[in-house]
Amino acid sequence: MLEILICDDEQSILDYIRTEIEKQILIHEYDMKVKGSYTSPEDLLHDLAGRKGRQNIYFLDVELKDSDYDGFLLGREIRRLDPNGTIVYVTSFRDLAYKTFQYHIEAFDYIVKDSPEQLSSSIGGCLKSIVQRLKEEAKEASVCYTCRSGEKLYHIPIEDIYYFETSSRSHCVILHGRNQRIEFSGNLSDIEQEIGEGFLKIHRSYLIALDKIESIDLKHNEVKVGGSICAISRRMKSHLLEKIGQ
Amino acid sequence: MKLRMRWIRQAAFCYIRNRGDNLKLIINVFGNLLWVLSIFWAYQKISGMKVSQKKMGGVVLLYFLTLLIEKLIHVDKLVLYLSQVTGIHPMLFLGLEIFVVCWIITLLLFDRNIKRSMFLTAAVCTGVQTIFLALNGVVTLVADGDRQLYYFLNFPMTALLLAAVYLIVEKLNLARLFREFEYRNTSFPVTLGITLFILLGYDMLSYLMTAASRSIWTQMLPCLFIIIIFTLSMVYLLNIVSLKDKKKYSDMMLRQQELYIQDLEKIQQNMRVFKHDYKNMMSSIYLQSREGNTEEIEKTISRMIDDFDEEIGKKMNLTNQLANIQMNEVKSLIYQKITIMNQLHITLHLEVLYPVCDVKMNVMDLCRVLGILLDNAIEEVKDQQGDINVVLSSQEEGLHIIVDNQLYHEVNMTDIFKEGCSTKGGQRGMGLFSLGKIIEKYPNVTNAVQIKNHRFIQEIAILKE
Repeated sequence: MLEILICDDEQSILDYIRTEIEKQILIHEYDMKVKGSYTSPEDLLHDLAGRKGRQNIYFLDVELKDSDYDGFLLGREIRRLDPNGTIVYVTSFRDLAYKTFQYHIEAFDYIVKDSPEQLSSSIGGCLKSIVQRLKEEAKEASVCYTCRSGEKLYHIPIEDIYYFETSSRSHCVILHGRNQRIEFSGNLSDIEQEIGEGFLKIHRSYLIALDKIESIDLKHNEVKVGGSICAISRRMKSHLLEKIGQ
Repeated sequence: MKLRMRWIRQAAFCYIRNRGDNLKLIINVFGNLLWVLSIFWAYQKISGMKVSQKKMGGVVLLYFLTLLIEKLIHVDKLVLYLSQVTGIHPMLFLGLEIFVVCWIITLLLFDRNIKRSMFLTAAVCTGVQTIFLALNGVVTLVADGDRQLYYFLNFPMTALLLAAVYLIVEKLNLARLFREFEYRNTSFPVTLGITLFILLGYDMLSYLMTAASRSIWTQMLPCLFIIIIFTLSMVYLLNIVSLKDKKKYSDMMLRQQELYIQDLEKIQQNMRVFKHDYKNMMSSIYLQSREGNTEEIEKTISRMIDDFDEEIGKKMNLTNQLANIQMNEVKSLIYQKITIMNQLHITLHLEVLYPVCDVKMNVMDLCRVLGILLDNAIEEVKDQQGDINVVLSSQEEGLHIIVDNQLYHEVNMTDIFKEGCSTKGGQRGMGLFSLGKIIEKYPNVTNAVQIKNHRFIQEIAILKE
């Protein structure tokens, strides 16, 4: 049973959204229910902190006139408490600075509250997309490696990772993937332990994915992973050959 | 240093006879240590690094280690041997010795970049040594053979040396000049040439001074002469560079203000047109309300909102977002890029939700970084008239910059960061490689690149730490 929480500081709009959502749930027989609707962000957060929220759905007004929390900050706080929740924003402006919300909060979508019909159909479409997305996520279940860079968490599917390399900056590591290149602070030994099987630290500066090896040059002690050359330390040479042999 | 070495060794002999000389040995060693430390302080200041206590401690350790090694392997005998073998005068090797030691310490502790460390170490070493030579010449003359007095005068001399280094580095703003030099991206052979020139020049100077007879002319004046020439040329260069900066800045401001005025005028024109339409629409709503035709009223109102958004809303939104950028250099840069994008019919979506006031990064560097990101994005989408999203999100922890654009061809993650890679051919391939080099200087700036759903996403975070 997915729980839905709504927050909008205008009571009339709050009620309208709640009624619409409940209508949609009834019509399409979604496995959801509206847990609560709040005019004050603090009330919502208070309620949420009390229980361990698990993948709730939130409909938040962007233009909250609260002194401590505007829509954006409320979203950030909710994201901290419920990292897997789905957040949908409701706004009166068509030109919402949506990308910012997407980047920091990973908001699912935004809905414009221009006119009643538009609002209803948007809510309907939104709930449908959420249900679909959750179904897809359940099927996908690809294992990800999580790293933190610049206050943001990145989840990279392990099968996309080619290798990790120490950066010229101290205590920093670069992740090289098929579609990614991310620099974050960490060290190779810790990552090797965390990431488990399938990766081997072949050199002081390189931790590679064993299944992404394209070629090995034993004479020059180099290995080609994901199109780049990584050096092999003498110590790890035999280990590497052993692991590949398996 | 050779001079000192001789003194140290002689002092060591004296130790056996007179314990008091032990004190002089210590004074010598620490005096030397101070000006070696000043070399590295100057290096860090000029190259723009933060002066790190830990690394200075490392310098001290390595310095003592070097002294030990020098004593053990009798470097001066090695020098004589080398000079016999190559036929070059031994004095030329001595200046090199200090440079080599300092360079190794630099590579180990401060800077792994060979070109930069080589040039800067040579320049700083030579500079400090020249000042030392000048002061030492004066002190030797004044002491006139009296060893006690010589040692005593070392204290004020070292203090003067340190003060001179500090003044020259700070007042002449050598850091700014060095940054200018870095951006010219001189090739390795040229840098090597300049370095050798500096080292050999210094060698010649010190050779002349020790070989010639000891008078005020041969000891002090050549050095003073060089120092004065150096200071004057640095002041001149600094003037040119700061004029260049000022001109660039005022050009940018002018450009930005021109464009801003143009946009405001356009908005005003649209407002005038809208005012007419608005009056018409209001009349029809009035009539419709009298007839009780609510459906028609809804339609009219909705059309009015659409029209407003279409004509004025979008433009106002852009200027609103830009208004949140309170750093004028950044605002100007983005304005310029917007003009280019308009000409190429590229759609830009700009978001600046919170005011961007201040970042822990040099503004010019920030502009260069933004410029590279935007140029790359424009280059990619211009033929397809695609779209670019730019987000400047100022949060508690710092400023986040996100530039993402539609991708129309396959991109290899590792290649694009290599020097000289470009889809355009020719000299233009310095983009992401230069970006990496600029970001490298800042420990509080991170970069992440991703490709998702055929979009190329660049994220830069400038943390306040």
